[in-house]
Amino acid sequence: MEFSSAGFAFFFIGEYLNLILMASLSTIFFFGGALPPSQWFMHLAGVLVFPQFLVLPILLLPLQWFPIYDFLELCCWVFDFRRPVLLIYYLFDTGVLDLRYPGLLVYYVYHYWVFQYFYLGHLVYYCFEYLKNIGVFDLSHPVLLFYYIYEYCIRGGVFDLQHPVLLSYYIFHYWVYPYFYPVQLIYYVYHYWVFQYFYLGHLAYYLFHYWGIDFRRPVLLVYYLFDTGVLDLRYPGLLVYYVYHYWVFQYFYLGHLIYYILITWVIGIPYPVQLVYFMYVDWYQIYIGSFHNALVLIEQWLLFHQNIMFTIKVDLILMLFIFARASLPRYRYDQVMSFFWKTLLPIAFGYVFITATLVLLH
Amino acid sequence: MVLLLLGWSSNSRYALLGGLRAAAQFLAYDVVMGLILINLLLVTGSTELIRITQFQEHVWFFFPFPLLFGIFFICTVAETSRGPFDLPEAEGELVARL
Repeated sequence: MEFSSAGFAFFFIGEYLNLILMASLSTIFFFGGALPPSQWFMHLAGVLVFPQFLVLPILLLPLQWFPIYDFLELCCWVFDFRRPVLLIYYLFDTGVLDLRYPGLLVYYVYHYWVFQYFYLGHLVYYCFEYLKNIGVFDLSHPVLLFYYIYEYCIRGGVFDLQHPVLLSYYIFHYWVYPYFYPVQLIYYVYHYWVFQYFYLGHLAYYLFHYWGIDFRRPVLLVYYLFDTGVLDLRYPGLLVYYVYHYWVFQYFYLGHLIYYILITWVIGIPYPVQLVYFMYVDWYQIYIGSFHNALVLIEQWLLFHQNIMFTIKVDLILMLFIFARASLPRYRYDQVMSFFWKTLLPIAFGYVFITATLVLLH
Repeated sequence: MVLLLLGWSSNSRYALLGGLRAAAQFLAYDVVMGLILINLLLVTGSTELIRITQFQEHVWFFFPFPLLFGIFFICTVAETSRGPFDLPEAEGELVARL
């Protein structure tokens, strides 16, 4: 029975096709088929209900799929001076070291101060390293981290997000501008260390998710760590080593980064491209125009993709099926029959008469 | 009729009961569904799906007829024999003679 059950697959496929067919009929009969919401409806919802200060963030939401973050991460890998091979490569490539002029080496021995411009960029990094080593600013310690965030950001009023002006300021300067001003990207290339706090917080996430390890099953995690030799109880120092040198996992991340970049290109790139180039309203009008321009943008996008509209509606109705199945108990046979014949049928009959009367009156 | 024959031809009393229930349920929801569609046909004056869709360019039929959509949705659940109306496939109830 278990091995010959493949024949039932056709039965299930038929059931699902039936479901999708009925949901499509519901969409056509009651939700306007592939038509987008009318302009009247959109305008009413947008002007009366929708908070207008959220328009720009919502329009930019799809940009989160844009692989800019992956580019940033890649930049961080490229300029990772914790990888000595890369360091030497860049020293030669930029002309700092040139074997055709051996005197340069001697020059740098005496004039080592030329590196101070390099050090200057990493000054904050070293400050944090020093403070961390003496235990004051241990950012890997979550309690201390939150304490410092609270002390210097929230209590100092810098990140007071309840202040609407400050909120809009931060939205523009940390969310909007980096997309449209590539200079900021160059800044991040050289000052990649600002992302370390981000990485720090996501370290556990990467560890558990890039490896496909289920965090909710710690036994598997421990087994995996021991099995791969990452943890070896004969060398307890390994634990401390990995806490501070977690970057050894970067080669593993690198492979996955490529994968994610490819996927986000495939998924993310067409979206903003369509959003910008297939519209009658240029994208900059979002800034200088009113909310109506954004509505026109959305509506034209929906008109351009009516198949997506139809799919969204059908999926919502299919969700109703699941909700009904999950929330209602199975009715008895006589209950079903009385419900259909004594409740629904009279209502439908009455509706037919009412509708016919109204149609005749009009 | 096909449902009844299917239930009978399997030579099992439970399948026969399930077939009978499926046939009865089919009759029940099909009449209601037809009446609902008659409503929409009265309004649009056409049986073409494209015309019905174009008629809803400004207001979807859900907004003037929310109750009709609810009934239609119940009928679709019964039509697909899922959710709370999966009586023809409810083996436990059939065996327990409910």
